[in-house]
Amino acid sequence: MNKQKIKIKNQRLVIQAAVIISLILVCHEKPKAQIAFIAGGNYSNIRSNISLENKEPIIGYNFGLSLQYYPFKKFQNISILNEMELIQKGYQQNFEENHSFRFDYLSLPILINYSLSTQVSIQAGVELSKLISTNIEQGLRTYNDFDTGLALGVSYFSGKRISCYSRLSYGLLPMLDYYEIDELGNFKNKIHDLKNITLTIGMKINFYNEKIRFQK
Amino acid sequence: MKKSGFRNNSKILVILFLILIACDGLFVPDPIDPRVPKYTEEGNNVAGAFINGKVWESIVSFGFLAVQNEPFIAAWHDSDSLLLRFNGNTAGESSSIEFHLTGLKISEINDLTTLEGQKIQLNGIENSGYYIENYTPSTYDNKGVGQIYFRHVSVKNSNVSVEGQISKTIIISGTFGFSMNDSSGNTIKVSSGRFDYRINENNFQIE
Repeated sequence: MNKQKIKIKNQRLVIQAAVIISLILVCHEKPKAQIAFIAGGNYSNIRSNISLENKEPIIGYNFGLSLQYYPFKKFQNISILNEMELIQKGYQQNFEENHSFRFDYLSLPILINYSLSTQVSIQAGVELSKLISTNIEQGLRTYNDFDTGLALGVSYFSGKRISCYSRLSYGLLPMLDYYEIDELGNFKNKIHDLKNITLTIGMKINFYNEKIRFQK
Repeated sequence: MKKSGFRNNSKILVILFLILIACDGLFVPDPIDPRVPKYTEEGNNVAGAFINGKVWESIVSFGFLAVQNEPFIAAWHDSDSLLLRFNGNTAGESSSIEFHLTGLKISEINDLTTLEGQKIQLNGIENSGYYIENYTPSTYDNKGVGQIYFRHVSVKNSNVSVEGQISKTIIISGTFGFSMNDSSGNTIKVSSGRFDYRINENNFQIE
Protein backbone atom coordinates (compact mmCIF):
# COMPACT_ATOMS: atom_id res chain seq x y z
CA MET A 1 0.00 0.00 0.00
CA ASN A 2 2.83 2.37 0.99
CA LYS A 3 4.80 1.36 -2.10
CA GLN A 4 1.75 2.17 -4.23
CA LYS A 5 1.45 5.61 -2.60
CA ILE A 6 5.15 6.31 -3.11
CA LYS A 7 4.86 5.22 -6.75
CA ILE A 8 1.89 7.56 -7.34
CA LYS A 9 3.73 10.39 -5.56
CA ASN A 10 6.81 9.86 -7.73
CA GLN A 11 4.72 9.85 -10.89
CA ARG A 12 3.10 13.13 -9.90
CA LEU A 13 6.51 14.62 -9.14
CA VAL A 14 7.84 13.60 -12.57
CA ILE A 15 4.86 15.19 -14.34
CA GLN A 16 5.07 18.34 -12.23
CA ALA A 17 8.83 18.60 -12.83
CA ALA A 18 8.32 18.19 -16.58
CA VAL A 19 5.65 20.90 -16.66
CA ILE A 20 7.75 23.30 -14.54
CA ILE A 21 10.89 22.76 -16.66
CA SER A 22 8.87 23.33 -19.81
CA LEU A 23 7.35 26.54 -18.44
CA ILE A 24 10.77 27.84 -17.36
CA LEU A 25 12.16 27.17 -20.83
CA VAL A 26 9.17 28.86 -22.45
CA CYS A 27 9.29 31.94 -20.23
CA HIS A 28 13.06 32.28 -20.38
CA GLU A 29 13.12 33.55 -23.94
CA LYS A 30 11.15 36.21 -25.69
CA PRO A 31 8.06 34.76 -27.34
CA LYS A 32 9.77 33.31 -30.36
CA ALA A 33 7.38 30.47 -30.51
CA GLN A 34 5.21 28.53 -32.85
CA ILE A 35 1.90 27.36 -31.51
CA ALA A 36 0.11 24.74 -33.50
CA PHE A 37 -2.87 22.42 -33.51
CA ILE A 38 -1.92 18.82 -34.17
CA ALA A 39 -4.18 15.93 -35.12
CA GLY A 40 -3.81 12.57 -36.72
CA GLY A 41 -4.21 8.86 -36.59
CA ASN A 42 -2.05 6.16 -35.16
CA TYR A 43 -1.32 2.52 -35.45
CA SER A 44 -0.64 1.01 -32.07
CA ASN A 45 0.16 -2.31 -30.55
CA ILE A 46 1.53 -3.83 -27.40
CA ARG A 47 4.85 -5.52 -26.64
CA SER A 48 4.76 -8.32 -24.11
CA ASN A 49 6.92 -11.06 -22.67
CA ILE A 50 3.93 -13.22 -21.90
CA SER A 51 2.04 -14.72 -24.80
CA LEU A 52 -1.08 -12.78 -25.75
CA GLU A 53 -3.04 -14.96 -28.15
CA ASN A 54 -4.20 -13.57 -31.49
CA LYS A 55 -2.90 -10.12 -30.77
CA GLU A 56 -3.28 -7.46 -33.44
CA PRO A 57 -2.73 -3.71 -33.71
CA ILE A 58 -5.52 -1.14 -33.71
CA ILE A 59 -6.06 2.23 -35.31
CA GLY A 60 -6.38 5.11 -32.89
CA TYR A 61 -6.29 8.89 -32.94
CA ASN A 62 -4.45 11.79 -31.44
CA PHE A 63 -5.00 15.52 -31.24
CA GLY A 64 -3.72 18.40 -29.17
CA LEU A 65 -1.56 21.49 -29.05
CA SER A 66 2.09 21.94 -29.83
CA LEU A 67 4.42 24.67 -28.70
CA GLN A 68 7.78 25.00 -30.43
CA TYR A 69 10.42 27.40 -29.19
CA TYR A 70 14.05 28.15 -29.84
CA PRO A 71 16.09 28.46 -26.68
CA PHE A 72 19.53 28.72 -28.30
CA LYS A 73 20.28 31.91 -30.20
CA LYS A 74 23.38 30.44 -31.79
CA PHE A 75 21.73 27.23 -32.88
CA GLN A 76 18.59 28.27 -34.66
CA ASN A 77 18.10 24.84 -36.19
CA ILE A 78 17.58 23.37 -32.75
CA SER A 79 14.25 23.88 -31.06
CA ILE A 80 12.21 22.31 -28.32
CA LEU A 81 8.75 20.92 -28.84
CA ASN A 82 6.29 20.72 -25.98
CA GLU A 83 2.99 19.12 -26.74
CA MET A 84 -0.13 18.29 -24.88
CA GLU A 85 -2.29 15.78 -26.65
CA LEU A 86 -4.98 13.19 -26.22
CA ILE A 87 -3.82 9.96 -27.75
CA GLN A 88 -5.56 6.64 -28.03
CA LYS A 89 -3.34 3.58 -27.92
CA GLY A 90 -4.09 -0.10 -27.52
CA TYR A 91 -4.40 -3.46 -29.22
CA GLN A 92 -6.94 -6.17 -29.89
CA GLN A 93 -7.27 -9.90 -29.48
CA ASN A 94 -9.39 -11.75 -31.99
CA PHE A 95 -11.10 -14.96 -30.94
CA GLU A 96 -14.67 -15.89 -31.84
CA GLU A 97 -15.33 -12.26 -31.14
CA ASN A 98 -13.07 -9.26 -31.22
CA HIS A 99 -11.80 -7.89 -27.90
CA SER A 100 -10.31 -4.43 -28.27
CA PHE A 101 -8.30 -2.75 -25.53
CA ARG A 102 -8.28 1.02 -26.01
CA PHE A 103 -6.41 3.33 -23.69
CA ASP A 104 -6.87 7.09 -23.80
CA TYR A 105 -3.84 8.97 -22.56
CA LEU A 106 -3.22 12.61 -21.82
CA SER A 107 0.30 12.84 -23.14
CA LEU A 108 3.04 15.43 -22.68
CA PRO A 109 5.84 14.80 -25.18
CA ILE A 110 9.00 16.87 -24.69
CA LEU A 111 11.12 16.66 -27.80
CA ILE A 112 14.27 18.19 -29.18
CA ASN A 113 13.74 19.18 -32.78
CA TYR A 114 16.61 19.43 -35.23
CA SER A 115 15.95 21.04 -38.59
CA LEU A 116 17.83 19.29 -41.37
CA SER A 117 16.52 21.84 -43.85
CA THR A 118 13.68 24.31 -44.08
CA GLN A 119 11.46 21.38 -45.08
CA VAL A 120 12.52 18.44 -42.96
CA SER A 121 13.25 18.13 -39.29
CA ILE A 122 13.77 15.25 -36.90
CA GLN A 123 12.77 14.94 -33.27
CA ALA A 124 13.69 12.85 -30.29
CA GLY A 125 12.60 12.96 -26.69
CA VAL A 126 10.38 11.54 -24.04
CA GLU A 127 6.66 11.20 -23.72
CA LEU A 128 4.99 11.32 -20.31
CA SER A 129 1.47 9.97 -20.35
CA LYS A 130 -1.37 9.67 -17.91
CA LEU A 131 -4.09 7.11 -18.57
CA ILE A 132 -7.43 8.89 -18.32
CA SER A 133 -9.93 6.37 -19.66
CA THR A 134 -10.30 2.97 -21.29
CA ASN A 135 -13.06 0.96 -22.93
CA ILE A 136 -12.42 -1.91 -20.50
CA GLU A 137 -14.55 -2.63 -17.44
CA GLN A 138 -12.54 -1.41 -14.42
CA GLY A 139 -9.69 -0.63 -16.80
CA LEU A 140 -8.32 2.17 -14.66
CA ARG A 141 -8.01 -0.28 -11.77
CA THR A 142 -6.46 -3.01 -13.89
CA TYR A 143 -3.84 -1.02 -15.79
CA ASN A 144 -1.16 1.36 -14.53
CA ASP A 145 -2.12 4.97 -15.01
CA PHE A 146 1.30 6.36 -15.84
CA ASP A 147 3.46 5.63 -18.85
CA THR A 148 6.74 6.97 -20.11
CA GLY A 149 8.14 6.35 -23.54
CA LEU A 150 10.85 7.33 -25.93
CA ALA A 151 9.72 9.22 -29.00
CA LEU A 152 11.39 9.58 -32.39
CA GLY A 153 9.85 11.55 -35.19
CA VAL A 154 10.15 13.29 -38.53
CA SER A 155 8.37 16.46 -39.69
CA TYR A 156 7.88 17.35 -43.32
CA PHE A 157 7.33 20.86 -44.71
CA SER A 158 8.04 22.11 -41.19
CA GLY A 159 8.68 25.62 -42.49
CA LYS A 160 5.13 25.94 -43.81
CA ARG A 161 1.90 26.81 -42.06
CA ILE A 162 0.58 23.29 -42.58
CA SER A 163 3.03 20.47 -42.08
CA CYS A 164 2.96 16.71 -41.55
CA TYR A 165 4.65 14.59 -38.97
CA SER A 166 5.21 10.98 -38.15
CA ARG A 167 6.39 9.68 -34.81
CA LEU A 168 7.21 6.39 -33.18
CA SER A 169 6.71 6.17 -29.44
CA TYR A 170 8.16 3.26 -27.56
CA GLY A 171 6.66 2.70 -24.10
CA LEU A 172 9.17 1.96 -21.37
CA LEU A 173 6.97 1.22 -18.38
CA PRO A 174 4.79 -1.87 -17.94
CA MET A 175 1.09 -1.13 -18.14
CA LEU A 176 0.06 -4.19 -16.20
CA ASP A 177 0.88 -5.66 -12.79
CA TYR A 178 -0.87 -8.99 -12.58
CA TYR A 179 -0.38 -12.69 -11.95
CA GLU A 180 0.66 -15.48 -14.21
CA ILE A 181 -1.89 -18.22 -13.49
CA ASP A 182 -1.43 -21.68 -14.97
CA GLU A 183 -4.20 -23.93 -16.30
CA LEU A 184 -4.68 -25.66 -12.94
CA GLY A 185 -4.97 -22.35 -11.13
CA ASN A 186 -1.51 -22.02 -9.58
CA PHE A 187 -0.20 -18.50 -9.21
CA LYS A 188 3.26 -18.76 -10.72
CA ASN A 189 4.74 -15.27 -10.82
CA LYS A 190 3.72 -11.69 -10.47
CA ILE A 191 4.12 -10.15 -13.88
CA HIS A 192 4.91 -6.58 -14.85
CA ASP A 193 4.29 -6.55 -18.54
CA LEU A 194 2.59 -4.99 -21.60
CA LYS A 195 4.33 -1.98 -23.09
CA ASN A 196 2.94 0.38 -25.69
CA ILE A 197 4.34 0.92 -29.15
CA THR A 198 2.67 3.48 -31.40
CA LEU A 199 3.28 4.92 -34.84
CA THR A 200 1.57 8.26 -35.27
CA ILE A 201 0.96 10.16 -38.50
CA GLY A 202 -0.64 13.57 -38.42
CA MET A 203 -0.92 17.15 -39.54
CA LYS A 204 0.25 20.25 -37.77
CA ILE A 205 -1.41 23.62 -38.37
CA ASN A 206 0.46 26.62 -37.03
CA PHE A 207 -1.93 29.28 -35.80
CA TYR A 208 0.56 31.48 -33.99
CA ASN A 209 3.70 31.57 -35.98
CA GLU A 210 6.48 33.92 -35.10
CA LYS A 211 8.90 32.17 -37.30
CA ILE A 212 12.61 32.19 -36.68
CA ARG A 213 14.66 32.50 -39.82
CA PHE A 214 17.90 30.62 -40.07
CA GLN A 215 20.85 32.91 -39.70
CA LYS A 216 23.21 32.46 -42.62
CA MET B 1 -49.21 9.68 7.70
CA LYS B 2 -50.04 8.09 4.40
CA LYS B 3 -47.34 10.14 2.73
CA SER B 4 -44.76 8.93 5.24
CA GLY B 5 -45.79 5.30 4.57
CA PHE B 6 -45.42 5.91 0.86
CA ARG B 7 -41.97 7.42 1.43
CA ASN B 8 -40.90 4.43 3.53
CA ASN B 9 -42.10 2.02 0.86
CA SER B 10 -40.29 4.01 -1.79
CA LYS B 11 -37.09 3.92 0.27
CA ILE B 12 -37.38 0.15 0.69
CA LEU B 13 -37.95 -0.26 -3.05
CA VAL B 14 -34.97 1.96 -3.85
CA ILE B 15 -32.78 0.03 -1.38
CA LEU B 16 -33.94 -3.30 -2.83
CA PHE B 17 -33.27 -2.03 -6.34
CA LEU B 18 -29.78 -0.88 -5.32
CA ILE B 19 -29.11 -4.25 -3.67
CA LEU B 20 -30.17 -6.06 -6.84
CA ILE B 21 -27.92 -3.88 -8.99
CA ALA B 22 -25.02 -4.13 -6.54
CA CYS B 23 -25.16 -7.94 -6.54
CA ASP B 24 -25.25 -8.37 -10.32
CA GLY B 25 -22.16 -10.02 -11.68
CA LEU B 26 -19.42 -7.72 -12.92
CA PHE B 27 -17.33 -9.28 -15.67
CA VAL B 28 -13.90 -7.67 -15.71
CA PRO B 29 -11.99 -9.23 -18.61
CA ASP B 30 -8.72 -10.93 -17.84
CA PRO B 31 -5.90 -8.76 -19.24
CA ILE B 32 -4.11 -11.82 -20.67
CA ASP B 33 -7.12 -13.66 -22.05
CA PRO B 34 -10.27 -11.51 -22.13
CA ARG B 35 -12.57 -14.48 -22.69
CA VAL B 36 -12.42 -15.34 -18.98
CA PRO B 37 -12.85 -12.94 -16.05
CA LYS B 38 -9.85 -11.36 -14.40
CA TYR B 39 -8.92 -12.96 -11.08
CA THR B 40 -10.44 -10.62 -8.47
CA GLU B 41 -11.19 -10.79 -4.75
CA GLU B 42 -14.05 -8.33 -4.57
CA GLY B 43 -17.11 -10.53 -4.81
CA ASN B 44 -17.82 -9.66 -8.43
CA ASN B 45 -20.20 -12.63 -8.66
CA VAL B 46 -18.53 -14.12 -11.73
CA ALA B 47 -16.60 -17.21 -12.70
CA GLY B 48 -15.07 -18.49 -15.90
CA ALA B 49 -13.03 -21.31 -17.36
CA PHE B 50 -12.21 -23.08 -20.59
CA ILE B 51 -13.89 -26.41 -21.30
CA ASN B 52 -11.79 -28.11 -23.98
CA GLY B 53 -11.00 -24.65 -25.28
CA LYS B 54 -14.63 -23.42 -25.23
CA VAL B 55 -15.55 -20.63 -22.87
CA TRP B 56 -17.64 -21.42 -19.81
CA GLU B 57 -18.83 -18.35 -17.93
CA SER B 58 -20.98 -17.64 -14.94
CA ILE B 59 -22.32 -14.13 -14.37
CA VAL B 60 -24.87 -13.85 -11.59
CA SER B 61 -27.86 -11.72 -12.55
CA PHE B 62 -30.67 -10.77 -10.20
CA GLY B 63 -34.12 -10.30 -11.66
CA PHE B 64 -37.38 -9.56 -9.85
CA LEU B 65 -38.55 -13.13 -10.29
CA ALA B 66 -35.40 -15.20 -10.34
CA VAL B 67 -31.67 -15.19 -9.88
CA GLN B 68 -29.63 -16.57 -12.72
CA ASN B 69 -26.32 -18.37 -12.30
CA GLU B 70 -26.27 -18.01 -8.54
CA PRO B 71 -23.65 -20.29 -6.95
CA PHE B 72 -24.81 -22.80 -4.38
CA ILE B 73 -22.92 -24.29 -1.46
CA ALA B 74 -24.18 -27.13 0.73
CA ALA B 75 -22.44 -28.66 3.72
CA TRP B 76 -23.17 -32.07 5.29
CA HIS B 77 -22.08 -31.95 8.90
CA ASP B 78 -22.41 -35.72 9.51
CA SER B 79 -20.38 -36.84 6.55
CA ASP B 80 -18.07 -33.78 6.75
CA SER B 81 -18.53 -33.02 3.10
CA LEU B 82 -19.01 -29.88 1.08
CA LEU B 83 -20.62 -29.27 -2.30
CA LEU B 84 -19.89 -26.19 -4.39
CA ARG B 85 -21.94 -25.67 -7.51
CA PHE B 86 -21.08 -22.88 -9.93
CA ASN B 87 -23.88 -22.38 -12.45
CA GLY B 88 -23.16 -20.89 -15.84
CA ASN B 89 -23.22 -21.64 -19.52
CA THR B 90 -21.00 -22.89 -22.30
CA ALA B 91 -21.65 -21.41 -25.73
CA GLY B 92 -25.12 -20.35 -24.60
CA GLU B 93 -26.03 -23.79 -23.18
CA SER B 94 -26.68 -24.09 -19.46
CA SER B 95 -23.95 -26.01 -17.63
CA SER B 96 -22.39 -26.13 -14.21
CA ILE B 97 -19.14 -26.95 -12.49
CA GLU B 98 -19.25 -28.78 -9.19
CA PHE B 99 -16.78 -29.69 -6.51
CA HIS B 100 -17.37 -32.41 -3.92
CA LEU B 101 -14.93 -31.96 -1.06
CA THR B 102 -14.52 -33.78 2.25
CA GLY B 103 -12.69 -33.30 5.53
CA LEU B 104 -13.06 -29.52 5.68
CA LYS B 105 -15.26 -29.38 8.82
CA ILE B 106 -17.69 -26.80 7.48
CA SER B 107 -20.84 -26.70 9.61
CA GLU B 108 -21.96 -23.08 9.23
CA ILE B 109 -21.45 -20.23 6.80
CA ASN B 110 -18.73 -18.60 8.92
CA ASP B 111 -16.66 -21.78 8.64
CA LEU B 112 -16.11 -20.99 4.96
CA THR B 113 -13.39 -18.57 6.09
CA THR B 114 -11.29 -21.59 7.11
CA LEU B 115 -10.91 -22.31 3.39
CA GLU B 116 -8.73 -19.21 2.96
CA GLY B 117 -5.44 -20.17 1.34
CA GLN B 118 -6.33 -23.86 0.97
CA LYS B 119 -5.19 -25.54 -2.21
CA ILE B 120 -7.21 -28.75 -2.38
CA GLN B 121 -6.09 -31.56 -4.66
CA LEU B 122 -8.96 -33.21 -6.48
CA ASN B 123 -7.90 -36.84 -6.47
CA GLY B 124 -11.19 -38.35 -7.64
CA ILE B 125 -11.65 -40.14 -4.30
CA GLU B 126 -12.15 -37.78 -1.34
CA ASN B 127 -12.29 -34.66 -3.52
CA SER B 128 -13.59 -34.43 -7.07
CA GLY B 129 -14.56 -31.93 -9.72
CA TYR B 130 -17.39 -32.28 -12.22
CA TYR B 131 -18.42 -30.50 -15.38
CA ILE B 132 -22.12 -31.06 -15.97
CA GLU B 133 -24.12 -30.18 -19.08
CA ASN B 134 -27.08 -32.48 -18.53
CA TYR B 135 -27.92 -34.23 -15.29
CA THR B 136 -28.23 -37.98 -15.74
CA PRO B 137 -28.03 -40.81 -13.18
CA SER B 138 -24.42 -41.35 -14.22
CA THR B 139 -23.44 -37.68 -13.94
CA TYR B 140 -21.24 -38.23 -10.89
CA ASP B 141 -19.63 -41.44 -12.12
CA ASN B 142 -16.83 -39.62 -13.87
CA LYS B 143 -14.78 -37.79 -11.29
CA GLY B 144 -12.50 -34.94 -12.25
CA VAL B 145 -8.91 -34.87 -11.06
CA GLY B 146 -7.04 -31.62 -10.57
CA GLN B 147 -7.16 -28.75 -8.12
CA ILE B 148 -9.27 -26.03 -6.52
CA TYR B 149 -7.53 -23.16 -4.76
CA PHE B 150 -9.41 -20.92 -2.32
CA ARG B 151 -6.95 -18.06 -2.51
CA HIS B 152 -9.06 -15.51 -0.70
CA VAL B 153 -12.04 -15.85 1.62
CA SER B 154 -13.31 -12.88 3.60
CA VAL B 155 -16.36 -11.82 5.56
CA LYS B 156 -18.24 -8.83 4.34
CA ASN B 157 -20.99 -7.69 6.67
CA SER B 158 -23.85 -6.27 4.74
CA ASN B 159 -25.97 -4.08 7.00
CA VAL B 160 -28.92 -3.91 4.63
CA SER B 161 -31.63 -6.46 5.12
CA VAL B 162 -35.39 -6.30 4.84
CA GLU B 163 -35.86 -7.40 8.48
CA GLY B 164 -33.35 -4.81 9.65
CA GLN B 165 -30.86 -7.48 10.66
CA ILE B 166 -27.24 -7.58 9.70
CA SER B 167 -26.78 -10.23 7.08
CA LYS B 168 -23.41 -11.84 6.61
CA THR B 169 -21.83 -12.21 3.19
CA ILE B 170 -18.73 -14.26 2.54
CA ILE B 171 -16.58 -13.49 -0.47
CA ILE B 172 -14.88 -16.56 -1.86
CA SER B 173 -12.31 -16.15 -4.63
CA GLY B 174 -10.03 -18.67 -6.19
CA THR B 175 -9.00 -20.76 -9.14
CA PHE B 176 -9.52 -24.30 -10.40
CA GLY B 177 -8.60 -26.75 -13.09
CA PHE B 178 -9.25 -30.44 -13.60
CA SER B 179 -9.71 -33.20 -16.16
CA MET B 180 -12.35 -35.89 -16.34
CA ASN B 181 -13.85 -38.34 -18.82
CA ASP B 182 -17.39 -38.07 -20.13
CA SER B 183 -19.73 -41.05 -20.44
CA SER B 184 -18.24 -41.85 -23.87
CA GLY B 185 -14.72 -41.90 -22.50
CA ASN B 186 -13.69 -38.60 -24.07
CA THR B 187 -11.52 -36.32 -21.97
CA ILE B 188 -13.03 -33.07 -20.73
CA LYS B 189 -10.39 -30.58 -19.70
CA VAL B 190 -11.49 -27.73 -17.45
CA SER B 191 -8.71 -25.15 -17.41
CA SER B 192 -7.87 -21.61 -16.29
CA GLY B 193 -10.87 -21.56 -13.97
CA ARG B 194 -11.40 -18.64 -11.62
CA PHE B 195 -14.29 -17.56 -9.40
CA ASP B 196 -15.19 -14.56 -7.27
CA TYR B 197 -18.58 -15.01 -5.59
CA ARG B 198 -20.60 -13.59 -2.74
CA ILE B 199 -22.13 -16.27 -0.54
CA ASN B 200 -24.88 -15.59 2.00
CA GLU B 201 -27.60 -17.53 3.80
CA ASN B 202 -29.65 -17.68 0.61
CA ASN B 203 -27.15 -19.76 -1.30
CA PHE B 204 -25.54 -21.62 1.57
CA GLN B 205 -27.29 -24.64 3.02
CA ILE B 206 -26.60 -27.01 5.90
CA GLU B 207 -27.95 -30.53 5.36
